Order: sequence, then structure tokens, then C-alpha cells
Amino acid sequence: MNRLGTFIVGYILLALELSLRPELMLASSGGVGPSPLFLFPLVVFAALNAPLSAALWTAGLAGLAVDLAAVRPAAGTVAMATIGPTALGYLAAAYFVALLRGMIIKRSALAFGFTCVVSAIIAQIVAASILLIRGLLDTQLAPPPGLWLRLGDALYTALTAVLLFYAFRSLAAILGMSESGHRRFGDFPASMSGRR
Amino acid sequence: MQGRLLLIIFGVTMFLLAILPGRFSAWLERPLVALVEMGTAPVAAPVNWAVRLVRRSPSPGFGGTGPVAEEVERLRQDAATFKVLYARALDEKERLERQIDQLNRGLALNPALPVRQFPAAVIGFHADLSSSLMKVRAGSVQGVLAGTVAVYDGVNLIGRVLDPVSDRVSRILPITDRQSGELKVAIFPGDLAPGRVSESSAQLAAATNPAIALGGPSLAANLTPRGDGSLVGFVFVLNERPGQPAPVAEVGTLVRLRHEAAWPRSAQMLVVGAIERVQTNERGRQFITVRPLFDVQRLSEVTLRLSAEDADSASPAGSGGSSGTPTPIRSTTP
Repeated sequence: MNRLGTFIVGYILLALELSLRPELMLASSGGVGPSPLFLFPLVVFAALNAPLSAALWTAGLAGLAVDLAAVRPAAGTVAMATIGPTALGYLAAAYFVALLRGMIIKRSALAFGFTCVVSAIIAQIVAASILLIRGLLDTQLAPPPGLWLRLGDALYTALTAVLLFYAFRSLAAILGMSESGHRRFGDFPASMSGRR
Repeated sequence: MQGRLLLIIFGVTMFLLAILPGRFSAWLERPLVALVEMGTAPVAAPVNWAVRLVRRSPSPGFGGTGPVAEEVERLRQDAATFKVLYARALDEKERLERQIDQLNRGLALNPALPVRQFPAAVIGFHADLSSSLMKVRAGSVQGVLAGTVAVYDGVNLIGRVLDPVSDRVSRILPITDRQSGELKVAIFPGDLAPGRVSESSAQLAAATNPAIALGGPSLAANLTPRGDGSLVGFVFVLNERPGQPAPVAEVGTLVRLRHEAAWPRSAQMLVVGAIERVQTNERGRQFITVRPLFDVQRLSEVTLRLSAEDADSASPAGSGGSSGTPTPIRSTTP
């Protein structure tokens, strides 16, 4: 995996996530509704095509960036971010995809979209659970978005995932992620050491 | 093996940071958040700009183009500004009367304070869309402080700036966000939103004469943000006069801020929104739903208002650690 290429693509996707998500939100005026994720499909693409350790680091760092960009009000006067929930959610999702990547058709946009939805659901459940624990310990923090809203985000992500799939395929050389390297379930020790 | 160990350490650190209360992780979180914000701005800001160019900021005006429409729009803005000035003058009169009473009892008067205004471009929202925090390009370098009031179109209250304020970026918590808390408002019968016509003949007469409308009995409410862009609350009557029928809230009437305990004096009487819905319960009390005239998520620019009162109450350099001198863009009233 090309770290610099992945970083640049991830950086652009994070910026797009911050600027386009409010515009694509399915909600009435002023309300809150589901909106698609932009950075998450890159995490899934890396989990499908990159060595496991690289894929997990990509997931963890991408989730950390999303956490740092998700500032919420606390006690009505202070803005703060909660570091960790999305990072762990993305890690769990990437691990899940890596477990199943031997069984996934990597050249199909629909299969990629479906994988993104299922893994995003896992990521959102993990993040929501951690935020629920945090909410019990720190009552001043604004309540996190409900699980249904997060699941709506996960479903909506199918749309961006299918579109981004074609972009990722054309950028495969820059990302250093080839679809030819099929990996079977159970090759973790070799992958963890970075060997392909 | 080393890679796996590092990943485990990363995961455990993330989990600990996730469940630790904010006061323990703030030292790490604030510089990293600033880094991500500064880093993503060069890409996010042009995309935001392009999106908002396509979807222009809404206007509650009469539509149309050309010199007549522009003149109508200018007059509408003038009327809105003068209504705020008038309402504030009435409010100021009441306040001064109260202060004179207090002075008689030995309390000092506060001097009237001017307002500085900073136009600030909205550079985006945050990844967590469950809160409607807005990011604007104005920070402690421009003199923005925690608590600075944000408005749109001169008189429409948007929200206020949260702590911490970084050098060039600040975050606004809109009044419609659940975390914003209760808002005390005044409602003057006949003080209708642009383009609205009163349904009641008595209030229609009052609408044609704002002096009567604003000086007579008024209504008040304690509004709570519902989280869907609206605010709700029960209405009660102020300045009720015996023998006169009590005024009633009407759909389309403007709702103005009157919350001296929580908001600076310079923000009083700014427009919170217009009444969207009125319901009456079995005891005859009116329950109103208020919606701001502008959708917060569609704004491309807001105006930050800083009164000397705010500056005095804050630290000189702002909470974000400013290195520059506040630069007023222009001074105006209201």
C-alpha cells in the first residue's frame, strides 16, 4: 500500500465529508437525518486490498480523523471532540471486512457497496456503544446521534461507496492497492507482519 | 508481532480516551482538533463555497429581480432594523426605569456600550451532524470571544460562539440546537414577519402601526429547542391592561429575544424567528412553535457582534490564546 497516496486520497475524502455531508443530509429544514460517509469506503477498500496491518492502521487513523472533526457542544458553552469511538468502530469494521475478503467479489461495485453498508453498520454500532458508555460517565457532553440515525448513515453510504468504487479502481496505482492479490481467510500472521 | 502490539496499544489508547471525561483529554484533543480543522480547510472551504454558490442563501423577501425588487429588499431590511431599534428603545426605557429604581437603592448604572461587527464566512459544519455546530472563519485574532453573538441579515439571531476560540476559527452553537438551552422571548402582536399579513383585524390595524403594536401589551414565552430546527414553548401575557382583551399569538408573528440573564444587552430584541404554529391547550394557554427565518445550515456568512460588555467580561486575549490585536471591521447599531 502506498501510504502517501492513501493519505492524500483520505485527506480529500475527509474534507469532502465535512463539506458535503450537510448538503446531502436527508432531513427537513433544520432537522437531522442520515447522510453518507465519504472516508469510510476508503477504509473498506483498504481492508479489501491492502495488507491487514496497513488496512487496520488506515481504519484507525481515518476514524481518529473523523473523531477529531466531530466536535460537539458540552454543557452549552464549550465545544469538544470525543477521541476514540469512530476510530474503534472503523477498526472493528476493517477487521470484519479483512476476515471476509476472501469471499467478496472485489471487482463488483455492488458487492463493494454492500460490504460498505454491512461494515458501516458494525462501525456505527461500536461507536454508538462507546459513546453510550461515555455519556453515562460524562453527562455534560451533548447526547450522541441515535443508533437509528447512524444506521441510516450506514445505508446511505452505499450510494457514495458505489460511486467511490470506480474512483478507487482508477486510483488503485496511486493507492498501491491491487485487486489481484486475493487473500484467503486465515492468512493473518503473514499479513500482520506486512508480507503479501 | 511489533505491528500487532502497536495496534493493540493504539486501540487501548483510543478506548481510554473515548471513555475519559473531557477535562482529562482536553489537553490532547484541542491541538489535534485545531490541526484537523486547519488541515481540511483548504479543501473543505472551496467545496463549501461552490455548494453554497449553487444553493444561494435564502431570503425571506418578495422574490423577483431588478431595481424595484432591490429597493423593496433594501426597505424591508431597513424596516426590520428600525423595528429592532424601536423595540430595543422601549426595552431600554424599561431597563433604565428599573436601574433608576436600583440606583435609588445604591446600585450603579452601567454605561451604554457600542457593538462591533465582524462578517464571518461559514466554512462548514462538523462530522457529527447530530449537533448543528457551525464553523466560521473568524477567531480571536479578529476579537471573537466565547459568547460572542452571531446574527444573519443584521437582526436575525443565529447563536453564539463556544469556548475554545482558536486564532482564526470559531464555532457557533445555533439557538435551535438542543444544547443551546432555554430562550426567553418577547412577542409583540402585529410585529409580523416579512411578507405576512395578519389574520386578525385588530392585529392587522396594529401591524400598520408598529408603535402601537410594540408599545402595547405584549406576550412572552420560554422557548426550548426541539432539535429539528424549531423552538417550542407556552405563551404568557405581559403588560396586561384591565378591560382590554389579552393579545394572542398569531402564526407569522416575529419572536424577539428578551433574556438579559443569559444573553448580552446588545443581543436583546434580535429576531429569534417567526411563529410557525399555535396550539391551545384545554386551559386556554397557547403553545407556540417558532422557526428561525433562515435555515442555519444554508447560511454562507454570519455577522458576529461583540459589545464592549462582552470584551470586558472575557480575558483580554480570548480563551484560545490570541497573539493578535482585535481588528474591528465596522461599528454599527443595532
